Formats: sequence, C-alpha cells, structure tokens
Amino acid sequence: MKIEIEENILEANDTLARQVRSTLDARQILGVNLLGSPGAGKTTLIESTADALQDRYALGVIEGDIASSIDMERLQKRGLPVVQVNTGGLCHLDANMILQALRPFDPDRLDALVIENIGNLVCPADFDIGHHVTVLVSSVPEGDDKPHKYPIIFRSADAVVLAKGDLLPYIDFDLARYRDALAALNPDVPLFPLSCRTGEGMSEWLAWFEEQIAADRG
Amino acid sequence: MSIIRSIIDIALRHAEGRRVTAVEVGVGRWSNIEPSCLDFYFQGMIAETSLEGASLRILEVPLRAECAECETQFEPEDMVFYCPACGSRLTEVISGKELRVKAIEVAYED
Repeated sequence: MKIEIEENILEANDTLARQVRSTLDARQILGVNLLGSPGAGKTTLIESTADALQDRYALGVIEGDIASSIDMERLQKRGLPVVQVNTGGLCHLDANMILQALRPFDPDRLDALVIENIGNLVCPADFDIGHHVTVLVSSVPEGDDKPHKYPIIFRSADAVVLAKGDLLPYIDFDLARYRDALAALNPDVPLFPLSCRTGEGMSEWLAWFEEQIAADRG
Repeated sequence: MSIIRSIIDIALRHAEGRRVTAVEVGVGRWSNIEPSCLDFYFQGMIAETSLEGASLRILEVPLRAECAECETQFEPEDMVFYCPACGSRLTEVISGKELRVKAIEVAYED
C-alpha cells in the first residue's frame, strides 16, 4: 500500500532555522553565514572586519570547526565574544547547533553575529542556519575555476569575497574569467577582491557589511 | 548522514508501526546530494532497524529557473542563469533544490 507523504526532508532543520532567525530579528542582530573552503581566510576576514568596525559595531562570532578551538582562541584575543561549535566530523553546521550556541551571547550587546561555517564548498549550501545573508570567501590561491566547480554555493551567496588579493601578481589567476563565471551563475552578486594583509579593497567590503547591518535594522 | 536520518524518521513516523517496503524520495539536481551515495548509506543505516529490507526509490528533479521579468521557464545550461528569452539577469531557481520524501510503501497486515 502506497502512502503519499510529500514532506521536506530538511523540515526539522528549517523549523529550527526559523527560530534562530526570529531570535536574531527580535534583537535586530544581523546573522551572517560565512562560507568558504578550509584556509580561504574566513577567520582572518572576521578579524580584520571586527578590528575595522570595533568603534561602531559589536560583533559576536560562532566558530564552526570539525575539531579544535584554535579559531575561537584567535578571536578571543581580540576581545570578541565567541562560541566554538565542534561538529566532530560533520561537514556542515545545522540550525540546531546554532540555536544551542546562541545561548551564551548577551543579545543586547550585539549588532551582528558572524557564523563561520565548516570549511567546505559543498554541504553547508544545503542547510539554512537562520542567517540573513550568506558571504562566500574564496581566495586567489584556490584558483579562478571555483565558481565553475562549485556552482551551487556560488549561486547561494549574497556577496563573494576574493581574499588574498595581494597574491594576484604571483599566481596564474584570471580575474576576468572568475568574474564572468560568477556573473553567469549569480548575476548581481557583489564581488570584493581584497587583501586583509595589505588592507587593499577592504573599504568596499566594509561598506557593504555596514549596509547589511543598517538594512537589517530596517 | 543527517539527511538520511531525516528520511528514516519521516518514513517511520508515517508508517505508524507497519513494515515499510519502499521509500520514494525526490532529489533535486541543484541539491548537493548524489543519488548513488544516498542509496548506499540508506541501505547501511536501515540495517537492523524496522526499515530493514526497504528499497529507496530516487526521483531526480531537474534544475529549472524562471525569469522574473518575462516569466520564461528554462533549464540553465552550463551554469548560465541569464534568461534565454530576454537576457534578464533576474532569475529564480524554481525547482531542483528540493529534498522530499514523496511516499512510502507499507506491507499489508495479515
């Protein structure tokens, strides 16, 4: 006997993601899902962004890693409130992990919560974690073919940061090819080539980030 | 793994104690799920549960997008999302992302 069901497999996750989003909305906190491959420069981007905005905005961070608290310790040195989530092998964060990780934060003191997802260009694209915007960090040494190879995650991004831009003169990275592939997939997504090391390109990225905080406050 | 766990939970909930012989799922081409892997791990995870012996039927859902301006529907080729009719950049994925349990088959009770 056949029983028709038509049920979303991710419904349990999506329900919790809506809870996360409404918790953030109630306090006007911008939730940022920060994606990128391992070593792309996600944590460094958080450091540079927090440093540049520290006089105007309070950032909190949820650090997702399979193991270790290395990134949490890096960010705590800067005085940022950080909660580490270790997934123990799971390749993505899910909404339930974020709901638990929200508890230690003092929500009245935050303007934005940056959730650094597991370094991976595949699975994190499938899971809503209650965020408002998705930022994908891609870096010059990874190569200019990444939008072609990981189209789903590049399409899901609200902004793409091309990190380690100071390495462009030393690496065969065709910026025009990269831009074209990205534009075909996700036509109006803003692209920010930048270097956290030299500071080049940071101001455009920071302006976009501040606009998102302002838009979230509506 | 968490996806398969969800499939199993949904199937068991709707089975209400009856023996499940098949589970039918819709898997979008624009999800990151590879059907052959899904089946392999499904078979592994249902061993020694009340779903043991159930087959997994996977219906692949193609990627389709719709133009927000002229409403043309199209299947993006070579990862290009411009509207093929009017060239607009404003297009939405309308199917191909989904992961759904569509139906289960249960054995008749004696």
